Amino acid sequence: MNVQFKKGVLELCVLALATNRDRYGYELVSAISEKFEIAEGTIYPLLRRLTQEGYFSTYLVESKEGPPRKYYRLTAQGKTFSQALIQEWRQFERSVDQIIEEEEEANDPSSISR
Amino acid sequence: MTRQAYLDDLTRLLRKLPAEDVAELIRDYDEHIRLASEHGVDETEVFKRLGDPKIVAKAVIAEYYLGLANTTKRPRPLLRAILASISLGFINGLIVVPPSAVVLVVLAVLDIVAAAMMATPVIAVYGALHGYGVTLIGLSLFVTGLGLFLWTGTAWLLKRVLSPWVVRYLRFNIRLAKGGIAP
Repeated sequence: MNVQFKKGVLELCVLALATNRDRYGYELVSAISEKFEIAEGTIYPLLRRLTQEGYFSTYLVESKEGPPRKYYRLTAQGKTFSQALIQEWRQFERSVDQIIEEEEEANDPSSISR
Repeated sequence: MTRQAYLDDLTRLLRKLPAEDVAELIRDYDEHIRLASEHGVDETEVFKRLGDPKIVAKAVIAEYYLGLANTTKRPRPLLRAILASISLGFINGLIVVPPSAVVLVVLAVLDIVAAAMMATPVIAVYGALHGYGVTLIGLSLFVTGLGLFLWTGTAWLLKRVLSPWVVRYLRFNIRLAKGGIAP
């Protein structure tokens, strides 16, 4: 996948994934790498920056087996930011689709009516 | 590769960042690796999916400086953020490097001209010793004055005009690198 696409979309994806419930890092990373081919390790620094910028707050939950898990929760600021990004994404997606569809229609031999 | 080897590699590659930030991220990766093996992911597969420590370290450094860029007005961290972003392909180097090079060359030329002008008394004195007119010394002092003026002028331009402009341009590129709308 194009790196320029991916970069912008990753930020949106981690924010969107945490909309309905708090998530721990491994969960977020797995959900994303199921859909995109990425180096999973690059998501943690992104999460850290978003936390430092105030979009996520984090807390540790001990587990019976294995290490404690760090959970990410969207802050109020994070929710606003996430919604703005999603809206912008939708607008962008619509515009690109329109352009592609218009070109496809123009190329379709069955639709020649000029 | 073992868990410890992977984490050691990362720690070494990140030695220039604050220890506190590195420790926090190493904990994240440690947690990730342990959880992956709990989920039955094959050991070599875990490291393959995480990515080459070099690539991961680059991402860590880029995000670190991108985060820092929000709170600083100094050009240097911003420049680091840009360079790290270029090396990851988040920003195309072509949009940053040529304009920067042009600005630097112009500044360098101005400074070289100013330095040459300030050095003219040396030439004049040499000339006077070899029988040339004394007016030459007067003229050289005048040129030295101009050189000093140009030198301080360039410094003023760099500090008052160029620096804020560069910071603004770098910030614009950082917004591109983050791939989001400006917060």
